[in-house]
Amino acid sequence: MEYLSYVWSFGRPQGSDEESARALPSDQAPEQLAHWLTNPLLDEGGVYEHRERSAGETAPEGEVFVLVSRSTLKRLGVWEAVAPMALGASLPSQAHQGSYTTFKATWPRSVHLESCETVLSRNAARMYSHSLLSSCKLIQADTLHKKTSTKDPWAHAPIVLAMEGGLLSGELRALQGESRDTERTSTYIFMDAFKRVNAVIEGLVRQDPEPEVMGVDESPYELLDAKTFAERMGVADQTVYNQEKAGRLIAVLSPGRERGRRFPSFQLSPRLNRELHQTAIAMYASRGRDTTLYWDFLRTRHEAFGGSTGVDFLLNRVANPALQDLEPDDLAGLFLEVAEEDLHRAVS
Amino acid sequence: MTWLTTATSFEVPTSHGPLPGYALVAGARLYRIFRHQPDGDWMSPPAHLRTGRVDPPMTSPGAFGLLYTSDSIVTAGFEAQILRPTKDATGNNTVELIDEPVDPASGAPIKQPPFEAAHATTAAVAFVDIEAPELAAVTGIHIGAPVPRISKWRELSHWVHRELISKGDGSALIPLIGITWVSTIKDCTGRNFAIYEERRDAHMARAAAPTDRRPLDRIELQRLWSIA
Repeated sequence: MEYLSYVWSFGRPQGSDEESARALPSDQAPEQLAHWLTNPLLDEGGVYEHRERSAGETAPEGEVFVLVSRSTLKRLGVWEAVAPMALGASLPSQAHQGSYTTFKATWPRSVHLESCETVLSRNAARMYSHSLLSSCKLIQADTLHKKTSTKDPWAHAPIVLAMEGGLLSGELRALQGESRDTERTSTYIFMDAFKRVNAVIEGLVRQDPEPEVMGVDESPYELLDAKTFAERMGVADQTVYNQEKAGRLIAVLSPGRERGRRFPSFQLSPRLNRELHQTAIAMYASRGRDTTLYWDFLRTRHEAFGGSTGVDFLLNRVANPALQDLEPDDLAGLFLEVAEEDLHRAVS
Repeated sequence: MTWLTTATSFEVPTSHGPLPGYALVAGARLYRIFRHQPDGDWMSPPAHLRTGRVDPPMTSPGAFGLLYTSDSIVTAGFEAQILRPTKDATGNNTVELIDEPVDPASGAPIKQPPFEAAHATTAAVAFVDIEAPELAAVTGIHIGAPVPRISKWRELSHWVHRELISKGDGSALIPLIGITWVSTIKDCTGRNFAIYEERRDAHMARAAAPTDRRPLDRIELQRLWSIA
């Protein structure tokens, strides 16, 4: 799957009893977000809602929450803008004898995940069965194992909580069946903090002033001569050569050619992770290896990148969703590790 | 003789409990493409150049040496990055037989030329499956979470060497000489076999004397890839 979007939604589509979890293509995200954001924001702090249903009222439908991981925010360059905001979670509403009971909580980002779990356990135990909470903890633990960095457990807490909420929805329906309750159980989930976070992201991303110098329809694997590359960059030829000499760009020979080094066009993309690209160039140089070998690595599809190439990785277009949840340092470490093994294979 | 060596699944008895693995019969051929000299067909590179997937961890570069081999010359071709799963200029997936790169100034190759060798087992031998969940459970080293990291593979290889090979463990039925795994190269489904050097000479027959090394037959490699 091509991982196009940083926005995920979990929820129940209008008029459907089925839970869904899906990724939205980026071009659809703003429209969906505009709809979601029309809901009023909740107050911060843990809040219980317990209200009577009016006659004929059904469970809220089509409500979703959106989420985004901290590492994704960093890659988008908007983490600093959204970090001061509170993040929060809600457990699904539970219908019981004609009333709704809902637990919602928000907390500042300085609260660590262990504390989050305590909050959920202490408050939610009043309304959720022990088995449900156990599932919740197990899911958290499992997710922690798969998704988070031991150095910074909070880094992926939003994803932990979101997955937990999505799975709890299913658990509630199973419990309802056991108790022979004929009322439809609401799985209304709020994640208002995430809505706000995404609103900020959308605004900032739309304001990105950096021009696209590599058109979306052009191949990032195209090899350009220095003159064309310089024109596309809007600089003089010599500037391109200087940047290559300084280890900021690579130039390679076309297959089967012995003269005329060319510049891979992916280096023109504003999506390029330039810092990592330059670190990799330096790694090859430190081994005394020609950048043609680096270019071979960049064109290769790698299992560790979900079948994406090194170029895809540098352009943040990898097909492996698990990579979206890694910290930037871990991502860089993975990239350089795979590059080093590739070099080892190619020369030993 | 087939161009592909098939391994049989085999439970390796160890003091840590049975571990999943694979066995090869006597006379099974294991293929290798190599560049480093001298004796790259048979010897590990110097310790500072052991940076492969199952080489010693960076903290213990000289802990052991391994002879990397594969079940066919095609798998070896992928492992040596001569066959590469790439994207072409238009972004479509393909597998390329990579040209040997040359220095634009001198026209000379920038890498040592590739050679090939096909060694054979002298007796039935066993390999631990390094990807087996049972091995991860015994060692507490998990290579796949959240994404496979090569450093974890190297730790596992180090554990197998330290706890099994060095102690003579795992050879109660047939000699345990190394570790095995399915190639991690995209579009390659072959299997690799890495042999610890201290078990190599007793259970493997070297294909040819160093003076009789064969340059890689690229045409034959391409032919085999086309029918693989």
